[in-house]
Amino acid sequence: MNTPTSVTIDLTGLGELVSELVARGYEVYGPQVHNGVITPDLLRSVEDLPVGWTDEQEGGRYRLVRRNDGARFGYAVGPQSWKEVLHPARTKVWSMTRDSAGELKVTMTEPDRPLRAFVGVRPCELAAIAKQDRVLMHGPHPDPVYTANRENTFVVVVNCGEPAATCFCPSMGTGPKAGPGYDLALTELVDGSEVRYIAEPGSDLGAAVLRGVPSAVTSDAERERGRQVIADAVDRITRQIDTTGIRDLLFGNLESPRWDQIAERCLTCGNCTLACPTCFCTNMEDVTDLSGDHTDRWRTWDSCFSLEFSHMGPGPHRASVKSRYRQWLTHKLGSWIDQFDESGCVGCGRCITWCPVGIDLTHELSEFRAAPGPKRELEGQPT
Amino acid sequence: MNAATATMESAVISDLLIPRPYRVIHKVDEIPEVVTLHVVPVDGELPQFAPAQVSMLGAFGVGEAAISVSSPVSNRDFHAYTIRRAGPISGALVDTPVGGVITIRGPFGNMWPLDSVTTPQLLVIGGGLGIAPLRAAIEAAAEQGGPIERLSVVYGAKDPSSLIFEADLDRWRNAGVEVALIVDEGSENWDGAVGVVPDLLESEDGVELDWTNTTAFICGPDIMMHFCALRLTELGVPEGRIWFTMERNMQCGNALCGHCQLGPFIVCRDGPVVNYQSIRPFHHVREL
Amino acid sequence: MTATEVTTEVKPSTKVGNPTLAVWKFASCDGCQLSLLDCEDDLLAVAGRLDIAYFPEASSGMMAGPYDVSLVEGSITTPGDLKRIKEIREQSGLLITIGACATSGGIQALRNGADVSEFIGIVYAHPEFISTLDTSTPIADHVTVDFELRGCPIDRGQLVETIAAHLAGRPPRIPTTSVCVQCKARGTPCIMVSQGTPCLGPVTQGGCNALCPTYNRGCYGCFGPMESPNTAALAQQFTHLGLTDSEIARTFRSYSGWAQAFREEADKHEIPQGTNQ
Repeated sequence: MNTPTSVTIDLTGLGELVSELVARGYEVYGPQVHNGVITPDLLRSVEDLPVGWTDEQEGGRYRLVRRNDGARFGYAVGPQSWKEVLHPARTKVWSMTRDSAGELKVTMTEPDRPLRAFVGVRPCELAAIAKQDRVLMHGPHPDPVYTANRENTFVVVVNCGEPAATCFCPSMGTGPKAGPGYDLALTELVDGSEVRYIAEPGSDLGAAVLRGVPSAVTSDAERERGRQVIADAVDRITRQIDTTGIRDLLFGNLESPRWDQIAERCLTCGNCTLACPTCFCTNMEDVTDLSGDHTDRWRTWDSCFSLEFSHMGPGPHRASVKSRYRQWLTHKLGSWIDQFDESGCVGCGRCITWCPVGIDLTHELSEFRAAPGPKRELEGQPT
Repeated sequence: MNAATATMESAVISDLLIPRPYRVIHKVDEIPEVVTLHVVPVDGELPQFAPAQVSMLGAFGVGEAAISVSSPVSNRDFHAYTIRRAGPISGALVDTPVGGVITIRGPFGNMWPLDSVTTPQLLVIGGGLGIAPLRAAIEAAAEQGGPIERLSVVYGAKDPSSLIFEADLDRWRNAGVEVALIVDEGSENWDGAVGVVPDLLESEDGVELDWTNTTAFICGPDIMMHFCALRLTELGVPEGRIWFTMERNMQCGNALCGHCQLGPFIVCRDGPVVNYQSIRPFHHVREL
Repeated sequence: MTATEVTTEVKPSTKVGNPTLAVWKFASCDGCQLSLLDCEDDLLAVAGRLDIAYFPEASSGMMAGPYDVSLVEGSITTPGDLKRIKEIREQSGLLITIGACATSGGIQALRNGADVSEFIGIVYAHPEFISTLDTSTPIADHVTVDFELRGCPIDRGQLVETIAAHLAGRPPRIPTTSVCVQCKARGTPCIMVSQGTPCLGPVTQGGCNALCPTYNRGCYGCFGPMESPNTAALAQQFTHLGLTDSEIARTFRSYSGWAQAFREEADKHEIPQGTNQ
């Protein structure tokens, strides 16, 4: 593509951007206030955006709070991510019927291939989509549902100017400024009710879409404001994790008593995994009807916190609470690196906020770091 | 009779996600509650497989279970799956009559590294039904020659009546394969070894090998594999020449569902065969 | 309803006579039995696979036992119940209990540990005519139960699944994970986190499709404790949210309050009588 050149658009331009996407046939999704949280949903118009709202977050706590300006993207992240759209909670994989002679007929579900535009993707969420792409689309056997949903997405990322107290994206290298992978990146400049956006194309398609939107050349002052928005966000992010040798730190502490302490607080409710934008695990569920001759296979979200997840012949392999939490944390931050050559965490903080009792993985990691357990040999890895 | 079909328009969907109807053409009652099903696709060709590969066998309306192919690779007439009744799914598979239809996805996963064995001795150790995924490897090793000059099989079971594939054991012996058996509990008619499998390693009842020039394939309960590996390393077999097959809750077979993780391994993708050196730090950690 | 509206295909029975079904009621509100009647199209499918032999709520025709499948609603609260449930067990091939009353004693188990004779004296004009036990207890405390279907009321989809599974000879697929799993699957934001509303969801088995949290009410625990309920950790969070010990006790002592995990947690927070909270 051509060298990306940024332009500045105003609120009219933002509306035109959505109109341009609609004109190109996209279903446009964007953040909206629903049920006391900011969450992505089908956008009817830019009026649906969370104008003048922000979120306050802490371990086990989320509140919507009014801003005294016109920011459309002046919040961090809500409970739901784009995973709900790309990797839905429940999809039918196939149907099977048995005829009177006992013969079986299988019909695979042909997934839709919708054109969807996501407006307001956070840099951490963009990174999460890339991680799910790697697992579900770029492995040896692509997932058909995810691939179909993902093929035609147009991503408008909005750089983060309002991180929450639970955010730690700089530790994971995913924000607050977006890395590659978007079609358009916006940086919101807010002056009271006046709002402008610096828009940068990240793909040829993004550049083409942007050409259909009225814009002005970005001034040096605006460019500097944009840099300052990111720099201020970085300064306000207080939580962090030290990722140095993190895989070996975790696998060197598999028998640490710290897991028992976490287990005293862990509800095994599964919220962290379900809120996590990268957690991808699914369960196969065969549903038969009363006739006994028809069965549907449904694929549903699963969680390593459920007992059935590790079911083996004699029963659940991970019966204790600590083994289930350990599986989650060691996978997210450790073995994901072995399996997919990168961390499974993007630092969005959802697992901290949406844990009903506020278990904080950044804190737990610092505890492991501060009190190293007995060292174990760690050369093992898949060959 | 209507032909069973699997319709699929999209090239995106991996064959491994599509259940394919197979007909049971023969059943072998091995021991009580253990049968071997001989199956052929209702439509189309029998797929290729490699020793140790696993398939998801489906019983209509009940569900799927991961089972290793137990027939020799050279058998192009049917695939064999040896199944123990352990729950509703395996029970329904065991009860499928000859002529009945099951579904199969697969086979998937990796294989015993037969082609990369560089030692003159290959030791194959099976425990219980763990002998099933080894059968194809034993047959292939016996046929293929190459660097392998001496092939030994050590096979342990709960008691003499739990030993399966006895006709194969005799056939292998006649073909020059060294076969040593052991049972946890003997019986009146049993004059063989009684004890646990590692007891047969470097013993007159079992096998005495040039251990530094031996490669070992092991399949059985986790605890048996663990102690066999400890014994073998003690005898001088390098860790890198000891191979396990791992079992975890396999569901999708496509490295997509996350269930069959074992530490860094995704068993359906990185296994079922894993090198002992790689798995050792994780293998004995409880509930990992 | 016309026949064309029936979407579930019903397989005519191939053998002589379908398995027989009986539905029994003990101390309960009838709501779970009504869930069966509420199955609509599926009820016709049930009727196609099972002969409904005894179901006073739905039909006047009653056939004598034995019965292949018995669904039992309600808890054991009278000496007569004790005798009757044993007779039912003897007449039943498969005995499935349905609902919170039958599986954990129900809301009426609030009487357990209280002075029942005092209640009777207050409520009834002629207490001498009342014959009752001091406790309300689940069916499984008295006879062997083959499967327990939780809920207040039960979920009709789970009921159909339970029946379909038993007909197919497989275990029912009834998740034992938390209500949170269902909240997340349907996109309901956690009301405890976003509104500070105390909710039993994290320790309660899903099955209701997260009905109460979706309407901004904390979960009442109708489906009883989930597979690994950490009630102590949740109670501690309730304290952070400002609940007193007696409020915590009352939250756990609800529709499934006599279920072991909930009862034990409630007991830990019970304020001894005579103490002002």
